[in-house]
Formats: sequence, C-alpha cells, structure tokens
Amino acid sequence: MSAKYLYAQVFLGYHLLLRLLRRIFQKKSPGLKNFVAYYRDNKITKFSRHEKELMSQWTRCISCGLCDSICASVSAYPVGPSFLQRLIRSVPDFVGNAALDLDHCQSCGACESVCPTNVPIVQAVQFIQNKENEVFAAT
Amino acid sequence: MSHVTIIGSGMAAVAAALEAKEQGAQVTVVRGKPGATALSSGAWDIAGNPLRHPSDPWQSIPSPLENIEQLIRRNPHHPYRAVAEEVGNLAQFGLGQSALGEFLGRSVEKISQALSYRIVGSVQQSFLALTPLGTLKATAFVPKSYGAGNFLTLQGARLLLVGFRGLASVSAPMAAAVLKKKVGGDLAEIQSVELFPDLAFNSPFELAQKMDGNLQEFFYGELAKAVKKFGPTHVALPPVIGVESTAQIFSRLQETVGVPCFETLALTPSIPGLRLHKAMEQFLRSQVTVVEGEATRFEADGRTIKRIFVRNKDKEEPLDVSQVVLATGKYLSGGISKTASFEEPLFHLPLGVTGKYFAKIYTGKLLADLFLADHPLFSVGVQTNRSLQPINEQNELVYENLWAAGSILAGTNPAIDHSGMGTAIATGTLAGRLASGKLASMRWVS
Repeated sequence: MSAKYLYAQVFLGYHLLLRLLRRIFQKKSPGLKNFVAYYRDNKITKFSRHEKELMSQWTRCISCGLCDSICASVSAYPVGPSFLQRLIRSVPDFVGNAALDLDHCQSCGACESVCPTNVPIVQAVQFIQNKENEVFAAT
Repeated sequence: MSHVTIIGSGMAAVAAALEAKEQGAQVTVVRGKPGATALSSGAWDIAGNPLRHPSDPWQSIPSPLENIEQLIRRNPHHPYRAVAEEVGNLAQFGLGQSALGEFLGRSVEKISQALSYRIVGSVQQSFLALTPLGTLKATAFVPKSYGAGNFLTLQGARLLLVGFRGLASVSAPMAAAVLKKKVGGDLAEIQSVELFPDLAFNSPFELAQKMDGNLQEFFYGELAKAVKKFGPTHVALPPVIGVESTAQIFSRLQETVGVPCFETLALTPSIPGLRLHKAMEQFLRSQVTVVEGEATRFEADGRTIKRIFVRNKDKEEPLDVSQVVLATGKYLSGGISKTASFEEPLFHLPLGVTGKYFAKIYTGKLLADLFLADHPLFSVGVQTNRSLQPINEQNELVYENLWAAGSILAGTNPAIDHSGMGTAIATGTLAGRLASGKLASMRWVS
C-alpha cells in the first residue's frame, strides 16, 4: 500500500467524519430556503418524495393520444389528458405555466380505462391542481 | 361449427377474427386494454430493406415483395417463413410464384374492406411517403388520404407543405428545408406555408376534432387562398384532417382547392392511428362477440385449454373455449413482460428467440454491440411450428388448441425489419384459418 493511497484514505475518512458531525450540531443551511424564496416569482417549487415517485409513473406514457379521444367523447369540456406528454418533459416548468383549464375534470377515470400502459392520469390531474394552488397561492 | 376465441384486439386479432368468421366459425374476441394500434403512423409496412442507407438514391426503392424474400432468407426465424411454407404448400391451389406476397396482398385488401378503412398501395410496388420531419419513408400501403403523396410519382411537381402555426409538434418550414436537401433537384418547387396563425391547440387531437366540426369551412377558405398564392400542383397536409370525416373533407378539398392534397405520415399522438383504432373497434363490436376485459388465467386438461378467466374491473368471469388464438402483442401491450425474467403472463408459454429458450437471462446477452443493430431482445417471443402453434424446447406442442399470431411471435423486430403490419396480418389470417379447423388442404383463394 503506497503512502499516497493511505493519505487519500485518511483524508477522505476525516472529512466524512467532519461532515457527519457538522450535520448533527450545525443548523441547517438556509440555501434551499433562500433559493425557493428567491425563485418563487418564477414559480419554481419543491417536490416531495411521494410526488417524485408519482412523476416516475408518468414516464410510462407512450403518447398514443387515446386518453384525449375518450375524454372528448365522455365530457362536454374535454381536458385533453395528453398534456402528460408535456408534463413529463419538465414538471416545474409546466406547473408554473399550465394554460390548461383542469376544472372540468370530473375524475371519471375514462382516460385511465383506455390507457395501454396504466398511467395514473387522474392522480396527475389532482397533482397539477394541488401544485397550482400551492404555487399561485404563494405569489 | 367450430368456435374460435381470440385474445387481443390489435391487427393480428382482427385478421384472425375476420378469417375465422369467413370460414364459418363462431368468433369471440377477448378485448383488454388497447395496445400499440393507436401509435400507427398510418403506414402499413410489409417488409423493409435494412441494407438501404439514407444516402442511397431515393427513387430506386425495392418492392415489398423483393424485401419479403430477402427478409426470409436473412432471418429464417421470422414468422413470415412459417406462413410462406404453409401457404406456399398450397401454391398448386391457385396462388402464384410468390405465394406469401400474394396471400398478404389479398389479406390486406380483405381487411381494408371489412374495416371500411380505405387504403392504397400494393405489395408489388413501394409507396414512398413523406414524414412530418421532411424525410421519406418507403412502405407498402397507406390510408386513402395519403394516396396522392407517393413521391415515386411526384417528380417535377410543385409541392406546397402546409403546417398549422398553433400545432407545436410539426413545422412545415423545417420539413420543407429537410425535404429540399433530400429531393431538391427532382421536384420543381418545394414551398411551405403556415395556416391559422392565431389559433393554438393543446394536441393534434383537438385540431382534428375541430376539423370535423366548425373549423372545416374556414380551413377550405384559408387553404384555397394559400394555393392561389403559391400555385402548387400538390399539397401536403399534416395528418390532422379530421377523425371521423376525413374522406368527406378530402372530397370537398378536391372541389374547393382543385389540386391533389395528401396527408403526411404521423408522429405520436397519431390521428391516423386513432382512426385505425376506431375502425378496428367498430369492426369487432359489430361483427363478432366481444368480451371486454383482460384474460388473467386459464384452466387446462392435459394439453387442451378448457377455460380462460376474464377480469373486467373487479369481476372475474370464466369463459369456456375450444380453439384459442393468442394475439396479445409484445412488451408494450403486456403480451410479454420482462422484469426479472421473460414471461408470457396468460398461458406461461416458453419464450425465446432463434430456436433457443430461456426465462431468466441477463438482458445484456440479448443486446448487440451497435446501438442501431438488430437486438435479439426485441425479437424474443413465442416460438411456433409451421402452423403457428406454440412449441417448447422438445419441439412439442404446448397446447393442442392454441395458436399464436402477431408481434408476440418470436423472430420479428418491426423497428428493424419493418414488417409489423404485414406480420400481424399474415399470421393473424393464417392462425384464424387454422384455428377454425379448416385443414391446410383448403383452397386459399376463393
């Protein structure tokens, strides 16, 4: 074992210990809080672990558009659930700038019944509604 | 009278249902969730030529017939081979030299009629269609609304590419630029125009639906103005010209615009795919018995499947079967799943590719080194004998009353061999015929 290797190990170990100890005794850095506050105007927001898990399920969307067609056939004011396609590209961007009117969604689940890949579309709609309230209420 | 139960609702299932019904069988279709049908670009591929390079001259395209023969030689495990052998055996009964090609051509024709979904094209000559990106794709058949857009017949034409400003997914100027680079010298002129500058659409579906409705008259007027301004001989439109009333719109276009108009192929979400999906749904609902729900498990007596169980929402009901055609598709529609191991979730059929069988295997072993190569992973499926009946490692029939059709079959990778629709129709028709109990000595041509 060379001296260089040993030095590197000790160095890394020391700093790991230091970091762990700091985490216990130091106050949480205000960095994230400051960041979110600063970019509130730009409608950038936080996502919980559960929400991130939900988002990963939307990536199953194969953009076949069947949800759009069934929505139009059961509802007088179709929502066009294929907005998911854009949602999964950039969730923060979308939440802040959604031009869709989701109020007409009755959560009937017709879209989910035709989805070839079982995307939880109704949950996605509710997610967007909640997030919009959160983001817009804060501004 | 025989009774054929078909599991699946894609093109293979429709082909099997149509053929079995024509043979006088009683047909039941178990229809679960939709599969890949709605992703269709509109092109009905029979066989492509993977040896062609994008820089090859675009005018010289081998015919689907030539490609089929090459495909079977190159890939002896392709389902076409089983069909060719089964059908070729019957050449004496009326099919000519290229029995498979002729069989395919006739089957496609029959399906198009049964679905009232009008298509143009043939197996003798390729159809070179325009994509929304401005590239060209060779295929065999296309919907009628694409019909005027065969680039093999467009030399010297003045083409106008129409786009819709509010539809983000396609850009006519960009497509025109790409197309100019490809075929610039051979067409007299390629121009582009964007209509409806003030309208925004959430999805192509919204626009297509408005085309069916109140936007139609406005569209005729705007397009006529553009045609007057640019003076084209042909007009290429995005594939959003109506969902229900495409045929009527195109005949009205003939009157109001006066020059041949055609749609380009579609990206997803695909309106032509939706039209096909609806036509197939309509056919199944009106022509055969449909059981809605997903087939989840089955009961067998030795090597005979006796009963399957169909789950719809929370209810599970048994369905007695005598002859079964499995046409549940591959990964996308759940006909085959791959998590820790490969699985065919309904009958637990043995899976594999190129004559080998495996369940648990490291996926890396089924991938080629090159990204764009033909990865065996995508050809994994149910392996069958010549009569499309699933067999196991010992070459024995797994179940005596089971046939398989469509993309669940091993040996086909539609992204590479461009035979998706052809395989579905050829194997579906054959499976439907064999399952309905008509012996192979039957005449194929009536």
